[in-house]
Amino acid sequence: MTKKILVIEDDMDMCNELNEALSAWNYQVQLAFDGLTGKKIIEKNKYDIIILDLKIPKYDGYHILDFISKKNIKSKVIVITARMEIHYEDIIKQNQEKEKNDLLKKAHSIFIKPFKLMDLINKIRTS
Amino acid sequence: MKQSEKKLKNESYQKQINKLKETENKLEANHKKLRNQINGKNKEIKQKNNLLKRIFSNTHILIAYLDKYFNFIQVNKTYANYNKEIIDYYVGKNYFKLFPDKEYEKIFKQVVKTGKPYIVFGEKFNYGKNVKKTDCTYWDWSLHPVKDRNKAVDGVILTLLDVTKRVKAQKELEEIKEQLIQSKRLSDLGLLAAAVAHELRNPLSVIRAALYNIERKKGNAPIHTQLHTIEKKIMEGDQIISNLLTYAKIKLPEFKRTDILTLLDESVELAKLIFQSETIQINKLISDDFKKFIKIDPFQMKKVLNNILLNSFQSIKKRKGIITIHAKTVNNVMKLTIVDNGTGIKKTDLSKVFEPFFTRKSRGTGLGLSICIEIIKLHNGNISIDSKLSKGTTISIELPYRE
Repeated sequence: MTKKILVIEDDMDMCNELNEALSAWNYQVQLAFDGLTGKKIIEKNKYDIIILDLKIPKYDGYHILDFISKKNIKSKVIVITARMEIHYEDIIKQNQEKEKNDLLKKAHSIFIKPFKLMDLINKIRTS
Repeated sequence: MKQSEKKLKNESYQKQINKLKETENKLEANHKKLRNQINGKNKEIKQKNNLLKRIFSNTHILIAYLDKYFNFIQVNKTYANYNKEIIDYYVGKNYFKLFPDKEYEKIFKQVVKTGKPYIVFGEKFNYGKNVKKTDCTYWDWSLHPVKDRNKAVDGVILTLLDVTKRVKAQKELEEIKEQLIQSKRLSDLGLLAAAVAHELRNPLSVIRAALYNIERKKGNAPIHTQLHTIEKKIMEGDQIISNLLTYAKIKLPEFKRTDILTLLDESVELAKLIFQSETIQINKLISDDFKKFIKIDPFQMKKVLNNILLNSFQSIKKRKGIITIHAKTVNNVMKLTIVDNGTGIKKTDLSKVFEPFFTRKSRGTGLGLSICIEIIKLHNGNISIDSKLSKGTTISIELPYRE
């Protein structure tokens, strides 16, 4: 069965590249360019995979992660981010980041930009 | 005269004498009372006088009382001591014979003429004989008119307060402030480096993804879309890097005679290339008397125009965008206004947009407008912003033409 994938990413170019690559692998791809749209789409449809950028307008990726977990949505979330603080800065800003870290733990996996697209696709294939 | 009559008369005399004596006593008492009162008042006056004298002589302010021809009537001890003279040395002498100075004479005469006081703070004042030209002193000083009963100016009070130390401390403080700003810029640089690493990852990730698609399609499928994306994203990355470098080492401009309209066209082309927006309409309103050649640092000014136009392009989302560029010359000042009908800026954010690292964009270093203001300042120009949320933003630049 074809996997359904939702991409929530504000960089349209990134969306286009992901769309083209994933479509070539015969996945059904839906795009959302901001958190609000992403949320609405998630509420309406079921997806096997949600590819989620963290720094997106309207609602950020953490909010979406929280939303998915609270609504008990079964999609696997793959976070893609250019944020370095996932690795070390959260130690500095412990209080603030602890909450975010807990949210990130709910993600199926995390890819740090610029990641290799083949790695992401392999992850989707095995998920 | 009978004995008894005599006696009576004597008694009446006696009575009168007694009365007189009584009156005399009363007078004496009154007299004494008055004398006491006078003495008291005198004492009071003396005390008040002493008080005034003490105030006059025990202040660190130099005070001189001059008549309307600027002859010294009285000076205080502080005034006399400043030049190591005694008070009497001054009394009766003319101020400008002692300290000739055409400029101050003019000011003094003005005060007598107008009856209005003259007050300045922390100014250089060539006071006294021991002023060396190399060792300048700063003074809070004032000249107040003294008026007679008919309200005509009768004399003047000159007060002087040596504030050299204060002024010098202020100057030192300003230097330290300057150094602080400098060092803040250096510490900003540290943050800057972090921002670069972070921000470059976004366009780089797109390039990498595009490369995957090229790789996948190699052979037959047309690959120009991906190639274009790569070029675009490389330029976006380049824009970020160059913003960082510019901010890190904004230096004094190297002025060159430059055609600003050509610069503007180049910036518009760059913005069009990056944002691929065929729908954004660019209007140029150039006034007839606009002088397009101006002495500026072309590289720095290009940076300014790039940042402003890129902001405008970015702020225009789906709907039909219009960017209008006004250019005119007013009183030897070049005025450029760039108006867009983009998303605009919140009123509360408007004051922060020129601060480094301030941004509401999900991507961006928040340096664009900080660079603009720094560069425009170095050109002795002005930049201001006006914006209404969901209506659009207007950026106004004023640049003086130089010889």
